[in-house]
Amino acid sequence: MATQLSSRLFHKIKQGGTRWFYSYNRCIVSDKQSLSKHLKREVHDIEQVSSQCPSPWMLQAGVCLIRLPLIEEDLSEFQKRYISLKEQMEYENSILNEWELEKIKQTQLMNDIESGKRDASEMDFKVSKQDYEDDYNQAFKEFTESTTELDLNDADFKNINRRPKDYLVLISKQKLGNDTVWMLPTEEWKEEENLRQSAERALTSHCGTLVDASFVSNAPSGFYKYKFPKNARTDAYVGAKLFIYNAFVPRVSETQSTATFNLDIDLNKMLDYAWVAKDEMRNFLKPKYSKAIDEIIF
Amino acid sequence: MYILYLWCKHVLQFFVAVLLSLIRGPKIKDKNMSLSCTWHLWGKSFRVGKCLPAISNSLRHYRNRPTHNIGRMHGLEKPKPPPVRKKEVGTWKPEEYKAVKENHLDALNFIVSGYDIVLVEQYAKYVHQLMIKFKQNILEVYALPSSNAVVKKMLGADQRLLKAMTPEIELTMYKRIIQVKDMPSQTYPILLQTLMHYIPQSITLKVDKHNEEQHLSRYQYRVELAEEKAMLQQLYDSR
Repeated sequence: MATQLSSRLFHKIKQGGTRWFYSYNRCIVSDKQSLSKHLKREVHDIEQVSSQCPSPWMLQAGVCLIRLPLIEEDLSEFQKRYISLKEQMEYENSILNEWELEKIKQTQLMNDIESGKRDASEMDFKVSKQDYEDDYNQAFKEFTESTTELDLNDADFKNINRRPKDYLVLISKQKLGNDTVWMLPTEEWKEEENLRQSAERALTSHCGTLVDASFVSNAPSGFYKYKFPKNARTDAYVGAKLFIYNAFVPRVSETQSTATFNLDIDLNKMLDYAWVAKDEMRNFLKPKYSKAIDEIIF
Repeated sequence: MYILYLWCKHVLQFFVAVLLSLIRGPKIKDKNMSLSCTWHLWGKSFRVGKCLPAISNSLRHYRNRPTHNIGRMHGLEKPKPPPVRKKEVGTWKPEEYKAVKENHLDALNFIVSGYDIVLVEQYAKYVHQLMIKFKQNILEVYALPSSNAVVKKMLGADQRLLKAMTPEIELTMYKRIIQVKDMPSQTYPILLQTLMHYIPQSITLKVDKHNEEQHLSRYQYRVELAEEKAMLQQLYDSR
């Protein structure tokens, strides 16, 4: 009877159906160890594998050319309230500085001289601190900024300075078969080059060689896989795998806040272009495509 | 009454164990069973040859213990069997590829510069903390001497110099440097892009490789050394 009982217990543990908590002492060690003995991992060379079984996916490299925001975002209500509170606290806890002490002394002295308590010879300054302050305030009123204003025409999609507080991405209208599709500038990967080199080639072939964008890494930042429409599918390719590389429009100088962009469009490839913010992308691109780009941009 | 009940139970168990051991004999096949145990009954201990913990309480509930109701599946869903695949699916076996050797970048200088010292210091602090959090090898964090730019106001014909105002304004440029070594080439783009996102307005971030020149620019101009060098050069030329 004892052996029967024990075997039943054993069976239960194996099944894993119920937990018998005094059985943890006798739990069988799982099969993980035995697996490693039998399956040996073979190390392959990439070229060997790819020649043996070519994949039906065309490899493409795309460029996500990003224009960084030109101006800081507005503070939220909470931030404004907190900042004003902090400033108030700092002001209330502060001590008068030398300038303010001098100013108080001088005004006191002038009042005393006027009322006759003190002699006029005690004045040891020509221009009082209060006069300085009045001059400064007046200069501030008269001051005009000599810098050019940003053209805030947010409706023009081709203007690189639109929506100065947001991240903008360049998208282009290209031909895919018979249709025109809005997508990132892409190029097919060729055998001799890196993915990054093909991304750079995509940028120069679509936007011209004058664009001085800087790529950040050798590895792609995003990925998007799509199938061609059934007309365009061949024996070799079912669809394409797009590897997206980040590139940034460079800052022209430390003093200027506007961005400039020298486009030399190849009209065969790029029919139209637009600088598009994150929330506007859905109007142009397919939802999954825009989601893939969303994950790249902040 | 409860004590009596306990006592009776213990005694019963003892006798059952004794009986069974007598019936079955000393050999038990299952190795996992404990070979001997002692029964304690009010100070006295009775040794039984082979005892069977399997018989001990599995029906009690121990409701005041936290392990109460472990394993209870009443009212819960039973685990469903995996859905039957109608399509033929090939098994995918992951194949190991030769990995590329890790590439580490040489010493990099992250230079934070701007006119507002508060922003410069706060942002440099942020850069430093980010490097610490990513466990990078930070060599040095230092400040370069600030450079003054003097701005002279050119007054127009209709403008007058107010009695208190000076025509010259001094702008000082502040710089802080964070030097990082052996950053893996995968993390560098990630960190760079986060830094680009969080940079405040009017601050510039520049990333350079560390040179001899940059290293020497930290040192002050040595007057005596320069004089002696000039003398040596003169001697050499006069030969």
